[in-house]
Amino acid sequence: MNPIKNIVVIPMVIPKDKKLDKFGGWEWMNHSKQAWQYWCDKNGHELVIYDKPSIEDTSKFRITVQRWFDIFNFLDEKSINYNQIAIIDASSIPKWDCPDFFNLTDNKFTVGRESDNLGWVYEAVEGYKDVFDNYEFDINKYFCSSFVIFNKSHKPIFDQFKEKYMKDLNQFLNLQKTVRRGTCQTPLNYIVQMSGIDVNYLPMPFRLSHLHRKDMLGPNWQLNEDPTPFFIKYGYIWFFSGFDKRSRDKIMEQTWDLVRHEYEK
Amino acid sequence: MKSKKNIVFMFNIKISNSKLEGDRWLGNRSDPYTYSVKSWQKWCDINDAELFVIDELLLPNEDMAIPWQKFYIFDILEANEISYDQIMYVDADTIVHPDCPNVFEMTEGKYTFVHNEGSYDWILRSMENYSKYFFNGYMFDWWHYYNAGLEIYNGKHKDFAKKVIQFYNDNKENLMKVERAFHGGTVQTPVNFLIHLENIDYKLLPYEYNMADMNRKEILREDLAFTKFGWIYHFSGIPNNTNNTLTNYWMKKTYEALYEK
Repeated sequence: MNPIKNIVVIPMVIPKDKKLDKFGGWEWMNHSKQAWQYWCDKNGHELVIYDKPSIEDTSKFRITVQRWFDIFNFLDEKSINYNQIAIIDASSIPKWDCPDFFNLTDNKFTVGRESDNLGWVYEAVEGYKDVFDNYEFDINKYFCSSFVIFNKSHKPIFDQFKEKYMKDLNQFLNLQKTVRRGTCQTPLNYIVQMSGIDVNYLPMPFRLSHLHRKDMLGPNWQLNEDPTPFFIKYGYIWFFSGFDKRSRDKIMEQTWDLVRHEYEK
Repeated sequence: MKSKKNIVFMFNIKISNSKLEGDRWLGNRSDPYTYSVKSWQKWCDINDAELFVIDELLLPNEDMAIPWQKFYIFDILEANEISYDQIMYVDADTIVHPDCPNVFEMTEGKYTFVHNEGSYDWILRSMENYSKYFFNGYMFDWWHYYNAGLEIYNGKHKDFAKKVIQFYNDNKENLMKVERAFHGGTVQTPVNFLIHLENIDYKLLPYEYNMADMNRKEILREDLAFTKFGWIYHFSGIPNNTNNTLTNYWMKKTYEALYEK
């Protein structure tokens, strides 16, 4: 067995059933991979790429959903010995000196709050209410599933998630088309909140998303002393989400051009 | 002296002429603030608190902008022989839900406020600009930057309030210059810095207790979605809000939905 490490898992699967140009290409995944590899090496953790979902039909069972089904088996099959696991979207780039978030979890289920587009969150929570027996979900605890840290003790949560998803599959697939508020995030939120487990929330710089909505893409144009965009200067993990996905490749490329020298060893 | 109560205080001032650019207290612009006053009065009645509305300026607005004047609250209450336990300042463009839990019970006796979620371009520029011109480059964690539209303090913070006034008097001209040059707010950013530099023990409440910039979060909409999961609504940061028309629209609509059902 390999030594026990904390691991960062990035799902990187290009779905076969989608036109590759829909999201403006997939080159952005490579920037994410390079940056996370650097960060893991620096902090003594292991980067694992989740590249083989267990169910081939990624239209019915999206990668975003399957990653939660598969994660423990996937690691076991690869004989990866682990302590904590962070599953992070490939649309993210960690700042080269991002603090080690594994030290901030207290071994709890750890996430970042999702409050950028609260209208979207509200509609998602309302939309999925029926399938969760009208549970009174507290929106102020809603988290983003783009970045979740957990350990073996949380396996029952993911088992419950899979069980619920499979049981009400047709309803979930229908909700994905009608409510149109994501795939796995809201169901996972319901499962976690209904379970009553202790959830730890990381400070905002660890999950900086909706950069345009937050007005963080530019620098301090008044002092005009430092051209560094605010998100690079003040964020630890940048998520390139919350905007038209077709522009993701370009924005991540531009960002990578600004910072890549920081990741060269 | 009367028995000690928790106090909610706010300004509701009408100014007929002002030299301050964009003065939100000018003319009819402050009309919707009556909805705020009425909602807080009802909340105070439910929660055994006392509402204290200041409708006259202590100093001319041009000498000391209204937001700075709130730090005279301890003197004002004492001059009026009002005994207090905790004091909550709220902006007059807020409306509280009648079922809002008693926030005074959440403070642990600390200086209490809510992080300002909104335009971080504005917040970070404001922080950097004030840092440069007043605080020798000092910075604090930006995700602890608070919105001064709601803050709770108590007698322990009387000295701090005096320091804020002293800071204003010592830096008055420069503060006015920086405010005019950068438009990064009046009292909010300097007081954020002073909280940290004076090592004031503080508590952050979640967004639901001061829901600023709701339009940015796409919840300022006709179904009043924000009333379903939040408690204190702050009608700030509304785009295209000429003469506060939209503030009036949303505050009236919200008040009527919550209190005149």
